[in-house]
Amino acid sequence: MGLSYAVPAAMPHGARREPSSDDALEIERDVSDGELIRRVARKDSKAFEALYRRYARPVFGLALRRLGDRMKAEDAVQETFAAIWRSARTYAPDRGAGAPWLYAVARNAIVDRGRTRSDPPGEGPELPADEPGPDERAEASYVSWRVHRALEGLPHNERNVIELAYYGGLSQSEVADFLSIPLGTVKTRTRAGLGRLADLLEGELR
Amino acid sequence: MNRGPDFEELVGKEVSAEERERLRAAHELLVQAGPPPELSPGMEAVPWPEEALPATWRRRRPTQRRPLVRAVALASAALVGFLIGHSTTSPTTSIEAQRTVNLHGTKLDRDAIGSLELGKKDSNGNWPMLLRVTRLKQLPEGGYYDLYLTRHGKPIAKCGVFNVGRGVTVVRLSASYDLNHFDRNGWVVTRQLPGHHKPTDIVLKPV
Repeated sequence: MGLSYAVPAAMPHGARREPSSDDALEIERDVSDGELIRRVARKDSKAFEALYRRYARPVFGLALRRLGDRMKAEDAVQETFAAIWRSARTYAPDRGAGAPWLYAVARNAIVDRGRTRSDPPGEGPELPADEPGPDERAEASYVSWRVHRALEGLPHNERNVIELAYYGGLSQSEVADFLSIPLGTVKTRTRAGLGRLADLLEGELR
Repeated sequence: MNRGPDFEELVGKEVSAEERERLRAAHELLVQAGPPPELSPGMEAVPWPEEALPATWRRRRPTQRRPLVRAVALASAALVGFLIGHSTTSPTTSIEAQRTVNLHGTKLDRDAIGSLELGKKDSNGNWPMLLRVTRLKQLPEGGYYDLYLTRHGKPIAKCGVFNVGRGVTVVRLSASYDLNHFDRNGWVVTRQLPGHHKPTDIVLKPV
């Protein structure tokens, strides 16, 4: 669609970009993260845009979980993508897929952002013994990262029914009523979406 | 942890045992991950790397527009919205959606849920929209809901008026605004109780 995006408040004055096309982003759907990173290393802004669309929410989720503050988390997202733009050339495809590299970049940017906190390091509340420890929290963060990234990779109609069912709290019948589509279609799309997620999350399912 | 929807209801029985286990694993990861976070309108826009990265990535302070200019702009937007954004309930519940924005209830109506499908701009410059809502409270006589476009999160331009019954309400609306002037995916629904006509009570906002 020929809509261009609003210039975000974070951008310097005069940095308006050319209108973007959702169709162009759709074309990028089948391109791997690693290929996009390699293109970003060549300063391909379309590839950068596609990576942002894929990873803005996972990075933001990770930052929110670690920093617990929306403003700081937004700053960490910006710093993450700035770091991706600067250091994409250091990505080595033979050493692994793109997602773990992006996760490492994001984690470093978020840790850096956490270190710049101006708040005095007061004594935190003592954690009850059954609270997850650092290892469990790190693992949970990575799972959320991968799942949120995978959701971005689903076709729109599958993602819609899955988000309504999982995060909207609607039953399958309610999803059908809500979208004015037959119940059978909801079930078909849900199964297809779960199957596609299973493919995308293959590493996590082993 | 929220256990999510009933897996057996989602998948049914016509799936092989092997496939069922694969789907169940994806189901459990979805539940474990929880919902993805909501991006602020500013974050919906992709940063433009060439200029943005080496320069200041700090937030610009919102510019203070002169009150008169702002009032005129708001009044114009409201008038255009009023003239163009009439809503009509229609039995036609499909639209060739170019984009779908999912909406969720705010603290004023936590159970409410909605989606807005944005169609393709017609030759006259109108954007067709199909709004679906459910679980919004029925309002007392004289009350109504408005759909607004937002700028920096604030409702600015009215896109139509509607009321709800029981179950799912579907309304077709249209707006002729230049969407570049508003937040990306910046649609909200406001509740207007009798005698209250300012768009302050947002009941549905983008996920």
